[in-house]
Amino acid sequence: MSARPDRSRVKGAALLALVALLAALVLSACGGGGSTSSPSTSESTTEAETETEGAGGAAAEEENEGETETAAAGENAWCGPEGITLGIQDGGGLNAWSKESLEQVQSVSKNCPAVEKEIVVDADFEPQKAVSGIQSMISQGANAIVVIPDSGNCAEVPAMRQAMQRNIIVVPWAADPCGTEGTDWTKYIDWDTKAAGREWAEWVIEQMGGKGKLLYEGGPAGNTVSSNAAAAIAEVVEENPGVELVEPISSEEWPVTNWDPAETKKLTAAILAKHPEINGLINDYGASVEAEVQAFQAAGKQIPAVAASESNALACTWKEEKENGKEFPLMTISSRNWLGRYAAQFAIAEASGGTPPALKNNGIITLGQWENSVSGKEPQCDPNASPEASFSNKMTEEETAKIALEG
Amino acid sequence: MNALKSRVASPFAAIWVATFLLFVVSPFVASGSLSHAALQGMLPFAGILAVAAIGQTLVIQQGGLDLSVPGIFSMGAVLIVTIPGGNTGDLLPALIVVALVGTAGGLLNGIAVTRFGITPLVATLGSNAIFIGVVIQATGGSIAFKATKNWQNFTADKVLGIPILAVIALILTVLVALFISRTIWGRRFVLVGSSPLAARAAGLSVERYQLGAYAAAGLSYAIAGALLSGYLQSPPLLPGNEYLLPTIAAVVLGGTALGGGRGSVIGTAVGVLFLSQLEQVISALGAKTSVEYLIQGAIVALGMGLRNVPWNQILPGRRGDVDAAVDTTSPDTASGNGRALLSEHKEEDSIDVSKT
Repeated sequence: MSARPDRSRVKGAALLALVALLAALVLSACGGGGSTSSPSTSESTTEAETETEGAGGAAAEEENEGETETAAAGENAWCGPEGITLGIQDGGGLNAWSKESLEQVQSVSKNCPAVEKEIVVDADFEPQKAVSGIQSMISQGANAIVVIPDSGNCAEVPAMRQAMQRNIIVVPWAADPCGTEGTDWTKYIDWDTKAAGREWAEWVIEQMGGKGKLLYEGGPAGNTVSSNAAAAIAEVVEENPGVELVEPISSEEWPVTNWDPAETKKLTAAILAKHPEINGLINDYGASVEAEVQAFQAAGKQIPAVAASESNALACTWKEEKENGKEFPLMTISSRNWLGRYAAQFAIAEASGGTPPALKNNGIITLGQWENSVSGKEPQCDPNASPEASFSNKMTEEETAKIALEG
Repeated sequence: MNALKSRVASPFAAIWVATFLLFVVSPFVASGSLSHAALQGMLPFAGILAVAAIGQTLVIQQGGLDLSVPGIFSMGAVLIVTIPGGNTGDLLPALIVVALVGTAGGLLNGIAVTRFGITPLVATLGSNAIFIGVVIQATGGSIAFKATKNWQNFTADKVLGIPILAVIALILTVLVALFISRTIWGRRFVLVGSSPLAARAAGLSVERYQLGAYAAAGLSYAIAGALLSGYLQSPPLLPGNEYLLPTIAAVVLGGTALGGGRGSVIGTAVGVLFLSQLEQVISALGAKTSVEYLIQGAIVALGMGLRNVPWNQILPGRRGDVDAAVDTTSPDTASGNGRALLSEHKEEDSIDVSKT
């Protein structure tokens, strides 16, 4: 009789231990998963404050203020004198592109002493998380928010409007935010996706000699990047009667890869089975186009002319094929993470009393070609770097200024 | 004659017929969907799904359900790439770690379900979140390497013109099927799944068999993830997300009852073939994404729904012929499976279940 309660107690204790272990694992995973830089940045801010106080006060503080003013008056005119809290949000957050985007924004914020605190939130493509993330930034006293609003179809608009109503500077970038300037957000900064679509299509059709079959593959149904690019590509194809689209495309439909390599490889294999002869490829995501090219290799076909977003893996495939005597024409457009620098500069300037950068075309930038194997801008491959690495993000301030700034 | 009728009415026969019909109809509905190139494109992915679905079959056969496929699959996919870091010499240790981690993940599920009595749905949903958290934590949000060259070449290889991933899936399926049908452990495994009470009464350690099912399932997901990584060369961070529903759909289409009991890994493999070819046909038709999802969903729902129709009561003259075989798929008679199997054991007289 007495053994039963004992056994159940042991079982209960073991269950408790298991739950505690699981909770610890979950907490440790959460700690670094979503907001990778927030804790470390906050910690470093706190440490800096402590050091200033420890050094004995007024003189050090004056010195610090002096630095801020110098920064404001010097090359970082966008960094104003007023201390601010900066909110950084990504609608996604779980891929190399998002990671690079965060690094680009933080490369700017760390150079501005006016940024006293940073709050970083990833929404993991969940609209609810994106909205609650912005609301949490508002309640934590953010003065400026830089956001990639791609968690869902215009999901961030109400939260961004709430922030605007509290006089917070909101700068969406890299994805169409919906809504209107002045009411829902302060300034929208992005690449010109229609111009990119035209650039890709005109170049590929030129490589095809103005005739043949062209395949465009885009991201998830409804996303604005693929929608704008598809519309522009369809326009260029109409201007070239010798060119035929393998699958019909418009602003509303295109072969969907979901920007997922496995989906892309399956889709391309199915399309290749139906249309064995394809002369040109356009794809708006670097990791996808790598899988698309693999499908051609798996089917034992020569890779045709490719126009896409830049990616290290794609450049390395190009290099390998070239070394094997199977070179294919490749043109890429920058993956544009570096535009995050200007989004951050604009938000910080407006909130801290600095001078915002004078962006071309009201912030919608035409990027032009990044790599072009035909004209000598050889694709950049680094086998030791991440397959998804984008080297355009290593551009200097002078180089990016030529593309994005007036004058 | 009765034996033939029984075989035709078997819950595993429907998927064979449906798959055969789909392949016959494919070239007429969508030209090129049955061409050599189309099959070469479809089979590797079907092979990967089939490997993962073996694990789901074993768990469902034990009356469970495994929602941790995305987490364990992604761990396998990430580990096979990050451990060697592109160094071909480190592939073998990476494969061993993948197998160990997959098995350990499955064991964790099994312990939560069998030792602590947590519902499989809840236990595996929770563990899946942990596994995904571990993947994100360990990689920092992106994978810095490609699969090693030798692993890329192996997964892209062909045996007699057939993609090796499909061959691996076939071999594993046949081995597991033989293990279940030909070994004493396998037969006891079926008995435990059919009726844990009857199995316990016969002196079998029910927990041990259920634990084994979850561990083997974890192993199969991790291997499937590793295979996908090699085939894609640069895998995404969480490739397993796309494999949860297809594994469950393939298992149920293949004839394994969701309530546990009688199951067939071969039926599941055919279910995988059916789903993969269906996707191929719909892609070849150039259907819009919305239509694609609608067709796939409708066919899977229809396939599962039809299996629950009491055909033996609707169709005259079949009631007596197919009793236990058809009954295994019907939820209200699932509890009778154990009795049916026990009587089967008695009839075959080949296994002494009391020897434990």
